[in-house]
Amino acid sequence: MSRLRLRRCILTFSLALTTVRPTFTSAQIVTPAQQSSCARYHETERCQQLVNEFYVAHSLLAASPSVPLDQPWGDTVALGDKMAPKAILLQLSTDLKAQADQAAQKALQTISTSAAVTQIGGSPSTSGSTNLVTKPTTTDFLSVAAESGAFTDTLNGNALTLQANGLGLTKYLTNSPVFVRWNSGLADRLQPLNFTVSMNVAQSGSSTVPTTGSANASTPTSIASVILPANNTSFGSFRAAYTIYRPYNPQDKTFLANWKKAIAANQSFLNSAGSAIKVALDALIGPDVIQAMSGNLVTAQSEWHQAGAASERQDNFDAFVAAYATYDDAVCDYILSRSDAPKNALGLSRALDAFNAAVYIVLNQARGTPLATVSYTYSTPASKPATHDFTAVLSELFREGREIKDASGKDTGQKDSTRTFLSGAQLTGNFTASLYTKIPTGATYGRFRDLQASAEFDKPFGGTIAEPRGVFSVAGYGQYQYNPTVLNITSGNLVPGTNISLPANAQVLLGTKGWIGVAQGKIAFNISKGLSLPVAVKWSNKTDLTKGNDIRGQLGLSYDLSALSKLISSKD
Amino acid sequence: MTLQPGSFAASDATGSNETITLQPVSPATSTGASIASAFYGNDASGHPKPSTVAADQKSLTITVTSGINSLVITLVSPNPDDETVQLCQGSTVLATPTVRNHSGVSTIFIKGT
Repeated sequence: MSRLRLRRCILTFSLALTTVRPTFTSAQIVTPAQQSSCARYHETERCQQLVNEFYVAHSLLAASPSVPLDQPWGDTVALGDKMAPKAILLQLSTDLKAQADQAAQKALQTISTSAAVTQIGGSPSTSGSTNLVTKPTTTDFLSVAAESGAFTDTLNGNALTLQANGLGLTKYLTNSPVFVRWNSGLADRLQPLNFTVSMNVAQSGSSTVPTTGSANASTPTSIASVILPANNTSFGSFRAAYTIYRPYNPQDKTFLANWKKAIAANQSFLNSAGSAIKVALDALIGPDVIQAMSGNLVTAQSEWHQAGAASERQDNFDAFVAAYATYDDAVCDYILSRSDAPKNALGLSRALDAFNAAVYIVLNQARGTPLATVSYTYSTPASKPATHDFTAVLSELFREGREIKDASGKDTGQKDSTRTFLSGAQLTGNFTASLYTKIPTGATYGRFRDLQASAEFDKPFGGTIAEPRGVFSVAGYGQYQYNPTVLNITSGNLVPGTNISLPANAQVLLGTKGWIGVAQGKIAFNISKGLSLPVAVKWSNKTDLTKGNDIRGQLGLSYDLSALSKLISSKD
Repeated sequence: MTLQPGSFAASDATGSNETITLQPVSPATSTGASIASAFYGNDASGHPKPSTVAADQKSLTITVTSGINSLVITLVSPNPDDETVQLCQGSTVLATPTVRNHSGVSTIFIKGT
């Protein structure tokens, strides 16, 4: 056995040359067929290890009394991920439901990427929005907001806004646990993608309805139609946004230097995450459990060895995975059969997620802060022509505490966890270009509607940095309009003071071209996890249809479905 | 004395100093993964005891203590691709964790005799 081990650990290259099948070039590459076998037996996370054992260490299983795969905790993350759904079900099915709910909530708070001040509600161009500035981040999954108010519009609007995150939505639609970190490179690409749809609600309007005749003698028979008041809900806008990070290459020397620097800067954070994993693992798998396994799982281990060795002789990878999956399940079930095991398994999952989150911070520091978020918005404001809006969002987060100095008083480049005035604060800037979707024949205005620039400073208050009681914001907005506002005149309208009907595409210009300036103060109260109430007051030098100062309030209510603990497990 | 692999825990003489190295799995000849932290056993107050990690973060050293204790090793990698690595003590492969999406965790139970 020892000889075989020696070969595996030191002479790995020569083994690869002598035992690997001609079609197999790398132990690190898993073919679609192998992936399919692993997925069929719920061993996706161990697929590389199984491929390595089957192809590179071929026949080792038959010759050795033990192999690394015998101990599933050798890949603690794979073990934790395998046990977590079972642990949640076990926990929920016992009288410990309350603790499970609490555990799930804590996991959500750990996993949530919404540590920054996020966008709740619609973008500034949305009717009724309470946001004067668009934020770079929104929800981890889905959020819904109802808002009332106006910034540059003369008339108040009411909007219902639904936001979705590309990663959260993909995980939900593929029946994956929404709040468990996806160990896939695809996750990094989907996370920065967000969608927003806004609906104009409680929108007053009118519709023309033909009459079927006079109801009494005093009514002229010439009245063929009447205008009825209407209260409509209509599509307001659609927005797609993507956060752009500095591209990185793991082979790039600068990135690798930054990676090492970020590891060093976060070493204490990584240490505490590693320590927490050990505490959680020891609670789940103590020495007594290991001791007891020797007596209770010997048969299961022996069967896996026999079936695994047979499948290697038959060159049947699928059977090999099946044999291991049976053993892996037996180990998981045995660990979870202890009274406190489900709770402790959830504890381990939380600790592993916290470590994942710590590594994610390291990665983000190594590749730098987000450069920008770019977004496209298609808007159909009430009684106005539709527009295409292109926005760039720049943001700076202030997360850290005070600088840590060494014994000689020099900055170490690290910061402690002291809460300062800027801790958790965020500065966001927007630049938007708005174009009309189409210009009717003979229009007296051009394609460009306006240019907008805005900035907002957000300062969380109360609670903790991760979960403040609320966020106070001040924002400024400037919009240069190339022409007066274009207003659609619907076919049911008559020229004022006359009975002359207008054509369907009639438009008029109202207000004046030039600058509109808006200043806003806002407080968003975080009523509970996921639920917030933004209240704002704005001042503007004019509105789109009228001249003169305007002071107005905005109110909203939003809920982030990321906080729904029941979605923590897949619907198996 | 070296760590002897077992069915559920490796074993070694109490008091032995052992070095565990992080190595690539064939056919790779190098790995970008590194050891972020390692904890083995508990200190007098019951808190996890940090192990000594080499400056290059490719190996760690422990002194085997009596009874069954866990050695928890956290791994990080700048490489976004999944990569299976091996943790070896001398000629013995103790674990083959996969580093996924920049991070991985491995546990090895060691019985000090």
